[in-house]
This record gives sequence, structure tokens and C-alpha cells, in this order.
Amino acid sequence: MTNLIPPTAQTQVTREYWIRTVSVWLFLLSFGCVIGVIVYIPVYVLVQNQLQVFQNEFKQVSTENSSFEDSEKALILANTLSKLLVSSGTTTPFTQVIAKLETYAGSEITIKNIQFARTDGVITSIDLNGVAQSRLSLIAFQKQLESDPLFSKAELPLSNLAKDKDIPFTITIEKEKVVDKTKKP
Amino acid sequence: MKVLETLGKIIPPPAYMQLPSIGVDVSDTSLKYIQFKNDHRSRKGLRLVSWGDIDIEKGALERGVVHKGDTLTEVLREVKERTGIKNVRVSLPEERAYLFETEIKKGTSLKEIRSQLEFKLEENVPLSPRDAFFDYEIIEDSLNQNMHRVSVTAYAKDTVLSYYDACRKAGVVPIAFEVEAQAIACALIPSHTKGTYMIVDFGKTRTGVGIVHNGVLMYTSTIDLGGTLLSEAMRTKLGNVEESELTRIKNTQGLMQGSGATDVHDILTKNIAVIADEIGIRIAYWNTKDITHEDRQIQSVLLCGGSVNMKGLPSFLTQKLGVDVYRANVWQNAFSIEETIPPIERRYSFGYATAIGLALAPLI
Repeated sequence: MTNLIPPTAQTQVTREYWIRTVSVWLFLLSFGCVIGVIVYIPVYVLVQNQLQVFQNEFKQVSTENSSFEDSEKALILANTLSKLLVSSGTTTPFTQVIAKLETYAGSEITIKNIQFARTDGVITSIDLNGVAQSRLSLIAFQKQLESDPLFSKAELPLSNLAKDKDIPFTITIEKEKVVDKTKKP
Repeated sequence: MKVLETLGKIIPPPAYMQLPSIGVDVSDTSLKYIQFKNDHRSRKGLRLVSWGDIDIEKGALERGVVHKGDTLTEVLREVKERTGIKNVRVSLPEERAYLFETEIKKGTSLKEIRSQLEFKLEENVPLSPRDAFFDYEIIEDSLNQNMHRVSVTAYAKDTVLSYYDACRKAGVVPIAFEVEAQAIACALIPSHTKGTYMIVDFGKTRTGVGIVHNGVLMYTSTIDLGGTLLSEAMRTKLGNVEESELTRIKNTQGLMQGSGATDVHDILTKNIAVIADEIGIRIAYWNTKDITHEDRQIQSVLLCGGSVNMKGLPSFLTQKLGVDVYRANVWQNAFSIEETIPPIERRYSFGYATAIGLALAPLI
């Protein structure tokens, strides 16, 4: 079909046609979006509700979890304390050790210095300095210490036996190991 | 293409996108307008929405030339007020049209076709390309494998711009200017029909003749004889009789012998015979112009126009021309008259053929 409108008018008509075409497509697109939004509203509400429920549940669980963690911490502390109590219950008091050492020393051994070495608060060894009246009395003293179940070993350097009388000595006594009965092997 | 057409019918694009428009037929004496809308209840899918006829002051337009642009502007403004539509498809007078046929090599780009036609324009019409607006249509031609046959329509720029300016001043937007005969063909010839038809628009002041081949307007011509001339001739015998009475006589007695006054019959026959001879000359010219194309022979003549209701006119012309002549059904491409009763009476509907064709063009 021939159309004899002037070229400028034809351009205007073409422009208007495209404006209308684009606006119709944009309208359809926005209409589609609106329909999409309307369709998704129930889903959105449902999801939001579920999310709210999950958040509430999460908060509840978090609260429970924090109380559980507190309990766990308290339990760990109690456990540590109980271990300490157990270990302190099996530790031999200083007074008892000193009393025994004085008993074994008798009149012939003079104790000048007692030094306790501790590991984790537990006595592991005792360094004992003193003067023995005779060699025999020193050896007897060492043997008595070794025979005591409280001590596992009493080391007397041979150099200490060089003199016959008024012998200065140093005995290193290893204390019997305190077994932690709460720990499993 | 058929799939797209079917899809377009099932899901039509919104009317807003189709630039809703009215067909406006401007003649020397009146302006007729028609508007259709899509109607999915109808089989052909169209419904007549608005129509009308506004008289144009005598002397405002003469033989298609706009002498008083303001008068035409006023009339167009009234159309806009009546219909509320600002887009119009306007007919251009066929008296001012130049048509010619030429050949273009197949495979030529559209831009190149236009520039080649500009060169051929000067050879075929008395207008330089600078002073003319032209458009073309490619004609199906199975005989020539290498060349396209192209029908070119041209108008003087001044003619087109006078109509364009009147439209713009009236606040309407012309989206198409078409030759009257092309618009009439769009209304009268069933769409996608092959063949060659002559269209005779029997108007008040002149008779327009167009030849349409495979839906493309190939030839136009104007005979300066119309209904008014017949009325004047009748007045020489009947005295100063009202136009409405003359029209009644034409439509009831017309060319049928023995049904009324012999004098009137003789006057009408004499004048119609002149018109028939003019039409016959054009048929003879066309049929002998290109004898290699047998399908170009005129198959039938379709009548329309405000003065076509004369009794016995088709049979008289058939007898004179030796070709079948019918009064056309102007609604056939719009809706089925078996389903829908047109709101315009049949006798008036012939005058709306151009406006109907213009309004139908974007819809079929």
C-alpha cells in the first residue's frame, strides 16, 4: 500500500509508533511484575512466618546452649577443683614428713636444712643437709629412709662417706609418686 | 506469514499500538469519515464505530486543489471533535496523481530502489524529484525472473503539503495519504484476491476510474462527468426540480425503459453513454497495453460512489462495455452483511467506499 505522507511526517509517525510499542511492552512488563508480586505475597508471608519461627527457635536454642555452656564451664571448674581436692587429699603433709625425718635422724644425725621440691604443687623430692656423728649412723639413716614407704629412694653420694666422724652430708630423697586416681590411663 | 496472521487474529496487538485512526475521504463537495474497531464477535472482526458526512463550502477545493485551506481545516477539526480521534488516513485526489509502471532489477536494496525511481520519475511524470512525493509498490510478476515490476505513485509536493498543513492546523495527525482509487480497492476487492479489476467511482462532480491488478493500483483517470451533470441535464427537461426529487427519479426510473418518462430516460441514457464510452476507451487502452500478461485483462468493473444508485446502471454498462459490471459491496472486507446490518443504508454506503478503504487499510 503506497503512502504519500511527507518524509518528516513519516518519521514522526514511526517515532510515535515505537514510543507506543515500547510503552506497551513496558506496561506489560510492569503489569507482569505486579502480578508476580501479588502471586508471591502469600509465599513471602509464609516464608517470613517460617523465618520468624526459626529465629525464635534459634534464640531459644541459643539460650539453652548458653546455659549448657555455663553448666559445662561450671562442671569443668568443679572437675578441676575435685581433682585438686583428690590430689591434696593424697599429699602427705610437711609436718608428717619432717616428723618422720626427725625420728629417723635420732640423736646421731643433726638435720640442718630441708628443701622440698614441688611439681604441680606436689612434693616430688626433698634435699636434706645435715651432719652425721658417724659413718654407720649415716648409712643407717639412709636405709631407714629407703625402707619407709613414704619415700621411694634416698640417694647418698659416696663422697659423703669419706670421713669417719662429723660427716656433713646431703641426701636427696625422692618422694613416692602420688597417683592421680581420678585420671584414667 | 500465515501462522503470524493467524496468531495476530487470535491474540491481536492492543488497539493503542495500532495507532487508532479514521479514514477521511476529502472530495470537492464533502468530507466523509469512517472508523472501525476490532470486534471479536464478528467473523471478520470489525465493527463500525463512527461515520459521517460533512459538506465542504463550494470553491474551497476544486478538482482536488485546496483553494481555502482554512475551510478544510475547520472541517477536519469538526471530524476530530465528533470522533475524538486525532490520527487520520486521508485520501488524495486522483486527478492530481501520477502513476507509472517501471522495472527494477531483482535483488536491489530498498534504498537503491528509491534512488533509481527518483531518476525514472522525471522520465515519466512532469515533476522533478525535488518537487514530488512518491511511493511505490512491487507487483508480483512470474514472467520476468530478473526484474521486479514496480508501480509508482507521485504527487506534487504542494498538493500533499496543502492537505498536510490543513490537517496539522486542525490538530489531527495524518498517518497516511493514499490515492482514492487505492483506498476504494481496499474496500471493494476481497483481500488477497488476484486478478485485474476496474473501479469506477461515480461521484457528484466527476467519475474516477482506477485499475487494480493483484491489489496494486496501476492506473487512474478522471472523467469530468458526474451525478450533478445528469441532474443539470434532467433539469433542462423537467424544469427547476429539487435535487432530492431528481435523485429519486434517477434511482426509481433510471435507465430502465418504459418505467417512466421517456424524455428522462433518453437524457440519462445519453449522458451515461458518454461516461460508458470514456470507460470503454480506458478498458481498451488497458487491455491492449500489455497483451503478454493475460492476467492483466480486466475481469470486471466495480461501481461505487454517491451517484451509483441509478436504476439499471450496472446492466446498462455491462451491455455497453462487454465486461461484467457490479455495484460493489463496500462492507465485504469489514464484516459480513449476513451477520451484521450496517448502520449506513446501502444506497448511501457506496459514497463511503473511499473512507471505508482508508479506515480498513491498517486493520486487514
